[in-house]
Amino acid sequence: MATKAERLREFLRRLANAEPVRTHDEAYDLLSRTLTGVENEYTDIPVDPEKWKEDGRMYPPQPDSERESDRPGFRLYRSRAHKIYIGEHGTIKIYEVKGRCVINKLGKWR
Amino acid sequence: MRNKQTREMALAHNSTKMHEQVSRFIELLKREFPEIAIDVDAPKNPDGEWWLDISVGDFTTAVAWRPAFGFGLFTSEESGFGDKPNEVYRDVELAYRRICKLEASYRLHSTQKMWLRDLRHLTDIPQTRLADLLGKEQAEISRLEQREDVKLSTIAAYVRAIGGELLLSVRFPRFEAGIEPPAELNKKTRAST
Repeated sequence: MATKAERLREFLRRLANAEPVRTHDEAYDLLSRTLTGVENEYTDIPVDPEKWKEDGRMYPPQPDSERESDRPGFRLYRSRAHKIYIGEHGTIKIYEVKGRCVINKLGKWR
Repeated sequence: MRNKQTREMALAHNSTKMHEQVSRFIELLKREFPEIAIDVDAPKNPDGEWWLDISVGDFTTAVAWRPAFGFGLFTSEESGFGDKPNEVYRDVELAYRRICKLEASYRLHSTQKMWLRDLRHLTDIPQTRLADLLGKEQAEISRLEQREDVKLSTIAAYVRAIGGELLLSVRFPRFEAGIEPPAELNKKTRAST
């Protein structure tokens, strides 16, 4: 099974290459689908978002992880090691908690 | 500056709603580690997922909290995206003691030497219990653990109380040896006669 680091790289690669989307909800869905797709392909661990315990899979941000955003036009989500900004026009920006930007995917404005 | 202000405003908005368990957890950690830095990342909905970014010297960790589950601790070094916690504690005291142990284990395996508090964390003895054993107040134990200049007899009593033995040794260019203060030798002599 590929390591989490390898799967994370693949997730970011697929996300970067995906068709841009127009809205926050579409971007949230794109991120979730892309990550879930990678995990389904590279692991045989069943998906179980309700269980709050490490099972070897990576999961998209859950709605209850949303926090007040410091960027106008973006909603902010948090996970252990990342801050995920999803814009109202479909832009996705993911930062490591320490500050490094790992992906800046622009939304589709028109 | 704007980011910090926004975060502080959010915290101020949520501070009155910070769950009792999260507050208690922070209070316990700050009492145990006066030098600790805790960045509280509050959710938009106070009943959502809280994050506490904790650092004690070089030791850093993130702790999550959700009302329905409790405290989520991350003990695996492998990190991906959206990791779930390795350990979940519904009891705030157990979560706090586990963080103490993780910090002590980190120092045990790092090049940093340990001091009294680190030993106590590794032996799982709370300050309150140690205070009882030594006939002192908990605040005295806390102050003792932060002092650099401590009497040998005090260190020996502390280590004995947590189940260990203080051993002293010296190293010279031409030899190394164990040493023992006369008071200790006298105690042993009186015990054997």
